[in-house]
Amino acid sequence: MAIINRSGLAFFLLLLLSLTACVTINVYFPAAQAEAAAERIVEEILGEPKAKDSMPDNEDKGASRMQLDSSRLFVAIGRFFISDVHAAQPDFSVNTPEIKRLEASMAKRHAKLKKYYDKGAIGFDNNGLVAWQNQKAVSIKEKGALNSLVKSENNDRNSLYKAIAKANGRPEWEQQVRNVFAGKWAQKAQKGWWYQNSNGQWKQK
Amino acid sequence: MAMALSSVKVSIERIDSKTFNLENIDIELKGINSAKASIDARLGEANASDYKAMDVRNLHIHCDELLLDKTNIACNAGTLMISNELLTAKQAAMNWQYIPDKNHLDFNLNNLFLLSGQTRLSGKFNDELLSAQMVIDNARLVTEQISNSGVTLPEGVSLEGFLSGQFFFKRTTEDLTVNYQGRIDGLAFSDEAGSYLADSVNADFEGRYQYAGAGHHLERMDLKIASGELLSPFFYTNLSERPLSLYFEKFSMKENELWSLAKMRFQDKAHDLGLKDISGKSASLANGDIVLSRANLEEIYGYYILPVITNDLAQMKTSGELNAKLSFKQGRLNHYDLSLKHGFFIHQPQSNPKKFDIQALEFELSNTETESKANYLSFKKGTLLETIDFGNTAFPLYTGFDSIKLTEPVTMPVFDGDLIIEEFEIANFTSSPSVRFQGLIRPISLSKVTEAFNWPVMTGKISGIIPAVKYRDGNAEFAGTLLVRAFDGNILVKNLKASHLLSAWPVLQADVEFREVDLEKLTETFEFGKITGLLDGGFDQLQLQNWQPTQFDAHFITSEKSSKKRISQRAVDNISNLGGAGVAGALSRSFMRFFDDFGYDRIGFSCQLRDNVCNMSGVEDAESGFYLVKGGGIPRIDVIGHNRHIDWNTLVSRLVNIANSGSPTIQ
Repeated sequence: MAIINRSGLAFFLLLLLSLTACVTINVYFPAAQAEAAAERIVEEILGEPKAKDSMPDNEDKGASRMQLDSSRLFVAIGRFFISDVHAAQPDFSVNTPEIKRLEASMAKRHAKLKKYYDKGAIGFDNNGLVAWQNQKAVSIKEKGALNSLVKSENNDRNSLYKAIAKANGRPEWEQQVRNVFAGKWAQKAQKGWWYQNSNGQWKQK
Repeated sequence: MAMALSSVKVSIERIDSKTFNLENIDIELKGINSAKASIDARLGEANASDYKAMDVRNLHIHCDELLLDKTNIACNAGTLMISNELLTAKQAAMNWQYIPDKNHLDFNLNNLFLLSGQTRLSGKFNDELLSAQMVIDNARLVTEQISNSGVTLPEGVSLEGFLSGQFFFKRTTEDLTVNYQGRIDGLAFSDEAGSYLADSVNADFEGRYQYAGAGHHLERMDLKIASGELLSPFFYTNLSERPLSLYFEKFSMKENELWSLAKMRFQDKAHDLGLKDISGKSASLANGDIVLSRANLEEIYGYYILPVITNDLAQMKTSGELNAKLSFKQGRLNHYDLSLKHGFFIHQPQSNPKKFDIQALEFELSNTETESKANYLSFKKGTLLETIDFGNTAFPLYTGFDSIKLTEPVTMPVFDGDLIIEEFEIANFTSSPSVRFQGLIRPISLSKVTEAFNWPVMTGKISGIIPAVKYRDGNAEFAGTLLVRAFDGNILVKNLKASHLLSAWPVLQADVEFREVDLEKLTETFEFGKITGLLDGGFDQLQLQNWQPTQFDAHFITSEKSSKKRISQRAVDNISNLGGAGVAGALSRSFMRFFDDFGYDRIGFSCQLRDNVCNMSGVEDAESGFYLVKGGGIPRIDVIGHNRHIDWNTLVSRLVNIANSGSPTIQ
């Protein structure tokens, strides 16, 4: 009887709680995962050597099985090795065709932009974009081409930050994604390149 | 008692009006009745409330030889000192003569400095007329001073340079005209974004300007730019290499930003572009004609446009002679005549050594709002990827103001067959262009196609139907089934969609079906080892990203209709090799090596590709695995796969190794 009473009380309390309590679920921006994803993307675009692929080279360890029989020959196809495919869903998704497309487009453009980073004409600003650092570093003829390269690059960068936020189902993360990238571009800038610190000052690596 | 006044001195501390404030005015007139009168006038400060440029500091007029009589007030040797934003003089020589009866003034000023440029100013004026002449030498144009002078420059604009010239002003009661002739040196210009730039520009100008109260009117201006560089988002030019001449006639700017221009001409050594009777509002064109005569495309594209292009079009070269006449009415194009002769077009992207070219391209396209003439476009020869030749073709066209349409089917020779274009249309090409295409391929030898691409040489013919294709904004969609006949079977491509085709990461989706493809021809072609029989199957939900498969459900199985079903030892070897090392050697070491080929009942497999992993199965399940080859007859050979999850990249690299290796040795 006491048990019933206690259960009744618990149920009553639960009911009361459910009526009065307000449940809040906070989804925090996964900063560490975003950093890692941004690092990979930035390295890919800037053409730095990637971290060594974790795919094992098991080719020759395949156990093949063969049975000989007067009328039957079983040839067992040797085991194909499934590489270390990360099956678990990542916490931070950057794997949509749109993101891949932007990445590929920026990697292709980087070949043309690089010499202008080297010359200090342009650098990475603190908003995750490319900006003029020294207009005098290039001839007027190059400026035309560089203006349009910078414009296209910044269009792609803006689209990339938006696409990453969208791929994670949180369009409101765009600014956070942008901030992470702004830091990453500056961090991965090569020696001699310019970047803007958080106070907006241009610094040379 | 009469008293002769010999000198007068007036001092005023301050005069304030709505538009002017004057401070510290001192005027002293001496020796009024003597032969040697003099005047000394000083103004400490004058401020104009509207124009900072009119502010004056330390104005000092002095004249020792002042002639004062009833008909004449004159100064033969005066000096002027002034300090102003635009005008300065430390000791400018000055003389004047004023005739009060006629209200006529004659004056001469020397050694003035207008924008730091030495300036001479002389003129005469009375009630009705002012005529003046100004000669300036090397006036310095600086952004700040120009803005202060009351000329409104857009924000962020910077301007620098030197101006020299002669200006003849004539003001009547009706208007003011200025005839001018001069030179600009070392002009540099930049807008805020750095998109429009000029550097070290030297130019001669000459012309006539009129202001008639209701608006500005540039009667004539001839501008010859001899050196310097110009850049805009649309073109770049080095004027030292290619001097430019610009001519404007009757340019009028009225209120409400309405403007009209009777004639404009742009000429360099290779081009002549003319605009006639054009008018518009603000930056847009409303009415008028634009005429381009015998323009050299190679020069226009290669010289002016190419330096500002950064996309793949930068690898394009073109030539030909273009003639164009475009007429606008009320802001819309209402007539055009375009023609191209001796056109040549070549596109060779850096990423792809194979080029696309079209030779002897010609067109004549014309339209008015009321009638459309018979238009055409033709070319003699072209190649795609440097290897696919397409031949002499003429396209009869309807060309509208926003669309182009093929008026009858066209047969275009491609290799030993034809491409028949049944329908072709480009719509909305001024806003968001969309393309529609439908056609047929009449048998082309596969050997020619495969040779052209450096692929393994295939025998047979390729022919098919290309269903209605819609293309817009990089996305193409096929409305029906694309049918290709190859390897004596049919390959059907359904639900074909391509997105972002021109981007760095194109995505393609389709369902592909193989019907009764001759395995013997297929395996011969790819040197996989002979298999006879017919193959059915296909790829469902095939997705390619950047031309690499990322997803599909593939299933292939030999057809019931196969008459002869044999698999060669080499094919068994190769299938086994896919599994890794060891098996092939084992087979050729066994007594089975005495058999060239084996009978089979069925061959087949399925592979579901997801996340880089191929989930495999065969024609049926075996005891521990699945049959890839189910044998038949004696000796019987079965190939059994054991691993159902295979890494896709590993599988592809093994297939590539097989294709690259020569014939295996069987001992």
